[in-house]
Amino acid sequence: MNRPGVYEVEMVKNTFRDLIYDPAFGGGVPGDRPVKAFIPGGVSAPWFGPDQLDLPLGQDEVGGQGSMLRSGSVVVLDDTTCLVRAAWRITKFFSRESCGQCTPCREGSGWIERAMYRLEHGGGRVEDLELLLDLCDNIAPGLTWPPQQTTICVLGPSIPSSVHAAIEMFKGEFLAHVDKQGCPFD
Amino acid sequence: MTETRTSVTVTVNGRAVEAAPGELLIDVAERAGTYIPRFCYHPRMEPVGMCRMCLVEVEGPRGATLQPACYQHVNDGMVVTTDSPKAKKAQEGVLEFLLANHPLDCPVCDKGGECPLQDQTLTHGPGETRFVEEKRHFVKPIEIGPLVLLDRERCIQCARCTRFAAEVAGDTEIAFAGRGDLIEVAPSPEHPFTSVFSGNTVQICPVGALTAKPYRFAARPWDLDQVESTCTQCAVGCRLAVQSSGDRLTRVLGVDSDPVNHGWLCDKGRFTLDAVDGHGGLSDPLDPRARITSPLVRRDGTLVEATWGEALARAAELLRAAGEADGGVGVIGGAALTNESAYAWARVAREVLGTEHVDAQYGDGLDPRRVLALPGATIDDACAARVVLTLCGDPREELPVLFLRLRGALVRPGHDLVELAVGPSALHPLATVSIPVRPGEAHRVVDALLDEGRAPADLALDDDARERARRLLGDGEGVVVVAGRTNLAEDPSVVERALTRLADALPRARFLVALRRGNVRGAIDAGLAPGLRPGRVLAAGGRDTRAQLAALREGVQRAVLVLGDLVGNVIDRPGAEAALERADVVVVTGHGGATLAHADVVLPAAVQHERAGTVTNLEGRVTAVVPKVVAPGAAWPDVAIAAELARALGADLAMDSVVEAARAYESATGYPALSVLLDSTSEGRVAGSPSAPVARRPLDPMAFPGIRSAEWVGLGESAGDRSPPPRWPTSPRPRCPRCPDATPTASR
Repeated sequence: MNRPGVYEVEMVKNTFRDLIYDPAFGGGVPGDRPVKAFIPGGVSAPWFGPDQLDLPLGQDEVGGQGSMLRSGSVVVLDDTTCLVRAAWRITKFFSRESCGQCTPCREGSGWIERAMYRLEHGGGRVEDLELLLDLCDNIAPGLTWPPQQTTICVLGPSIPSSVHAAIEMFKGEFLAHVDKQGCPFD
Repeated sequence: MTETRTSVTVTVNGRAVEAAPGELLIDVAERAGTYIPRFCYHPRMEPVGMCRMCLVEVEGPRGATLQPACYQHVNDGMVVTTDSPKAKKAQEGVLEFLLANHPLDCPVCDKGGECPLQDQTLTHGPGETRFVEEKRHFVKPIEIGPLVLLDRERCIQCARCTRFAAEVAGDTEIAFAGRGDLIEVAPSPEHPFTSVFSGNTVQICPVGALTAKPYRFAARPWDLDQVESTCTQCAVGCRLAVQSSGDRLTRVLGVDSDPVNHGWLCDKGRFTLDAVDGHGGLSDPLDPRARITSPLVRRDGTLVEATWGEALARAAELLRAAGEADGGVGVIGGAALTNESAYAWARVAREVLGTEHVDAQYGDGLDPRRVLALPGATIDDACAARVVLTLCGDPREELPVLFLRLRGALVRPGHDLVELAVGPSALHPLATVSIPVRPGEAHRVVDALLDEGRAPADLALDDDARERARRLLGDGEGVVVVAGRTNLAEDPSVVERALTRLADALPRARFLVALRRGNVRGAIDAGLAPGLRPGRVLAAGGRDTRAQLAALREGVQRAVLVLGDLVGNVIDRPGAEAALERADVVVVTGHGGATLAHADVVLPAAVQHERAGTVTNLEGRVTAVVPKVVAPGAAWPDVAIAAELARALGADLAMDSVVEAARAYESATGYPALSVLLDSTSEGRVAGSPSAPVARRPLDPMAFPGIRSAEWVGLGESAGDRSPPPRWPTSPRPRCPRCPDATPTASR
């Protein structure tokens, strides 16, 4: 963002496009790079693509599209960003955050993190995509919205959001990692 | 007014099941024949819903959702599916997650063959792993205490051990440390895991993470043969499974007996197998750890091996000669015997030797004529009591599993403990009122507590504590007094007077008499007590142990038949040695000991796990003890020794087998024996109490953790690529800040 910061906006009246591009708020993406994806409400939220930029900033509006506004922290990913790396970093955060009480979160977050690391750093396999989605499904059955969970608390279903979204939206980028046996953005 | 339901109907996989409101779904389903896999759930501990293995689909307002069956209380109309594709996938997913970091070193793991993780993987899990990354690694195993080793790689973080320590035993020596997938069971940095209950954590561990030193690499579970028996290390009478490989004892596991031990054992009961084989064959007869394997007779000042015939003849000669004088012979000991053996010895003493001088207690107990006449309470009564009043030693030291049961009751609301604190006690932190009692003053403190008017100033009785105790005790309704010998230095009459006063002042109170020696209650019931004939029939006189030792020293009594190790157990050891030095001494014992330095004849006896019979615990419950191995050398069971010694003295007890002895004991005393002996897996019977039918349970102590055992599973399908996996780059693992190089957090 040209102007990263904390902004008070009126609910529903403004859209994500306003928040990102309005000079009073985010002020646009540095170098005017196109937006590849954005996370509407904290790293536990499923991602949105550029076609959802005109969505109003409202709980129901965002919820209806399969994500959430919750913490209100919007993360914008431009076309220089490796989405695999972004999803890996988010998963790593959750893997450290897991308290370790219940099995799906404790083991699932670590496993997904390590598989994502492997994809990003070479060693990825085509079947890893299916594996990752299935591991996500074992934490948040059905990968529905709002999510179901096999865990005790809602940290569990937060883990799959980014990985699921990244694979759904940017499968080609994952396959490019597999083909190159490393990150094409490096 | 709302109607209180006594029963609800739950639908499990399409079948209607009746249940009590608030019951846990996992139990309701199991009773209805639907087994739900689980790891963390343990029926004797509070559910936590941590492992997530028992996820099932429960219909709710938002449609069917996955809920842990161990954490779900049933309510009326609940509809549950345990085998839907969604539930199955969740269960398989959890198992796959659990195995991701599990080392799969089953071939070298002690748990292999009886491992809930192994078994449930075969029944409920995927056959192949999809995990190609490096598993987490720890230094393994680490000794976390003198008896327990921890392998953190195998741990599945179910928290059974830490919950047992915190919730059941009240120990703080193990707890979780760290977070995420680096969470680990960690011993306290200050205190090694020395809890007297540490072995229970090993038994309830659903994987091989916790292993017990005595059993490590000692056997494979499928090689073991087992019987159900009763522990005779103290008077609680915990039920246990004794396992052996061939004729070698390998392991003892707790068996869940609802009225007694709830499956728990203390480490003394669990790990005393060394004593049975004499610590690998020690042979010095003065060493209390050694087994006596041959009759011994003193010739020219030294004990030499003899035949049974020679030894019995010599013993009979000594006892007969001493018995010619009035009061010249007596019997001391026998609290470690079976009821049948104690009864046989009581008959030898009274009918053959013609003496009333018999005492199973070594002067460390209470007068059974006074304390066992008080209205009795069972362990369950004490746990259900509104108020528990303790006047006894520290139950955790003397009767450990009684402590666990009492603690389990006292931590719940509605139960108060009034403690007459005669010394440090593990129950002290749970006391509502604690009244300090100095040695020798228990009866005066009880008087001051119950009397109207001001308490004598020298007792320093706190008025407020006194008032609160009096209010709690009331007229004794709902009060159970746990009564035992408080102090070996003070006269036993101090406690006896205090108990008599309590019984008078609290007419509705009941008493759980906590005499601590193995089968002391049974020995007293069988007639090994001064002034009490078999069946606790009052008789005239009779010297107790102290009086017998005094009479021996004075030369009034010339001979003594000792059943066990008197010198090693008596309080006044020099006094006992002086007494035995002057006397003719016949010792019947399985183990060596200092008593044998004074023995003229030693008759070798079978010990626990080698003999059949019944025993009576402190509440009066009669259960069976079952032999698992053969007694070493020429050792005989006590019933046989008593019968043969009687024969050598010219009498016939007509008790040439344990069954005959049990039948004779039962008809002489009215206490149950034969029926219990012939049904060794029953919960036993308390004499005088209505005997409720108890559902027979299969003897499967590894299933006691609530996890179904291996018999039910078949080998899973295995398929796929068998080529070695490629080496993948792995992400740098976060390290615990306390142990940056993954060295053990505790290694002693």
